[in-house]
Amino acid sequence: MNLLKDITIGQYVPGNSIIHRMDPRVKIALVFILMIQLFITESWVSLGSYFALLLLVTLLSGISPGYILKGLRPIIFLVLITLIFNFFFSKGDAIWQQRIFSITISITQQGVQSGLRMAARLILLVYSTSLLTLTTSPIQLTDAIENILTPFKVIGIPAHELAMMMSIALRFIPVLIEETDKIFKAQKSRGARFGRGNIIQKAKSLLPILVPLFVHAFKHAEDLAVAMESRCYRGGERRTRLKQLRVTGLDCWATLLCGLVLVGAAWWDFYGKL
Amino acid sequence: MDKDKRRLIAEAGVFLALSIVLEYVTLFIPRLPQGGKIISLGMIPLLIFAILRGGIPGMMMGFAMGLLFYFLDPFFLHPLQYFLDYPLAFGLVGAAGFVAQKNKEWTYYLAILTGLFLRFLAHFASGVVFFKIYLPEGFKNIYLYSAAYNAAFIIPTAIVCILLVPYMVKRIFSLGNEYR
Repeated sequence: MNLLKDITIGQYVPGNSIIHRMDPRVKIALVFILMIQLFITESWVSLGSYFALLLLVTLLSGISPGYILKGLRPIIFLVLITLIFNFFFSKGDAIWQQRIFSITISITQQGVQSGLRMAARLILLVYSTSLLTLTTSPIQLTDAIENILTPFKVIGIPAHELAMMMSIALRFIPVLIEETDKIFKAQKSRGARFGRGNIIQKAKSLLPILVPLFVHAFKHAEDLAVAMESRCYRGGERRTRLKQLRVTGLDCWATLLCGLVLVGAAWWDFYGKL
Repeated sequence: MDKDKRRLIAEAGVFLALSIVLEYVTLFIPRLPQGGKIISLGMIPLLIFAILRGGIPGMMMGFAMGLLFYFLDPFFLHPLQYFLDYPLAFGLVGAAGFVAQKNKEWTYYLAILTGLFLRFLAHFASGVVFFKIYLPEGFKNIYLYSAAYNAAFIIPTAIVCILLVPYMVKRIFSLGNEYR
């Protein structure tokens, strides 16, 4: 039994494609804007153009479709619920009816249409957000979040502190995974049994792992605080970075392309319906 | 920036890493249909941090945890659902720190229940938002379904946290003053 069997934390697939090289802030902003469009639109043409755009991005990023499909797996259940409930419970003109005992079950035309549209919307949403996390490393996303949240400092959101916590966490995840594994093996070799019995026994069996793990965590934090102090860390003000986030020509082209798709789809929604 | 604040950031960061590691421990934890785990072990470091360091640092750590969890395991259905399920749900668990008082053990239990109940409320609201948007109108049981789905992982999580967290806090206190 392996405690950390198949552990994969995060979805990021490293690469050097043009999608990987884009500024993470621009990526977040574009995904967000396209997402709003996805919620407003009702037409298949704009859903289709959105899908085409995502396919193009996937192709450019060099991410294999397997990763995308893996990202879609958790929503299969929700897509099914959405389809079934919309098909059977929407009001409208019935296209299929069946009497089972005393209940009439019917599928309506409106139900099928709205069900398929909702399912497509769900899939496209998850597709676009997983493209973002597949092509942007968590540390880049953290930097971008710090940058995006900075204006909210006015209303008391500590953007820098939040981002700092997240960067520290990302740095320490591999260290702690290794320690958890070590502690787990050490306790097992002393005869500890894990994962047996009812929920209470299972929970209690975690204590021989948790207690040393927390002691380690406190020690790491203490060392880190001393290191931060000795390097004169004073929070976000006047702090410089080795890797600055920069908007380049690439980001401008990407924005232009997304803008064209957005405007084209919106134009079709308003004027193009035949 | 004073020494305590630096230490708080460092501790919150390391505890956050611990939360993520524990959340991904696959040992004997079954999964729910939408991919959520039935016991959220990541709550243990967050609750301990909130109880030891208070409500505001706890909520900050929770908020950061929500953002980070999203990067690692994204599940986005609607902007409101995202906010409720990630930053708010985890941030509210940190509010347990407002309830807990040091050296009064019974307040730890209350704090754990409060924090997890608030998280439950956030996920419950997010479930209702999902159904309102994606399902046809006039569907009645959405509140019940959302409550049942979320209770299915909050209750086992609460049992495990009630069993482990107060004990762990006492053990940490027994380590000496520097950890308090």
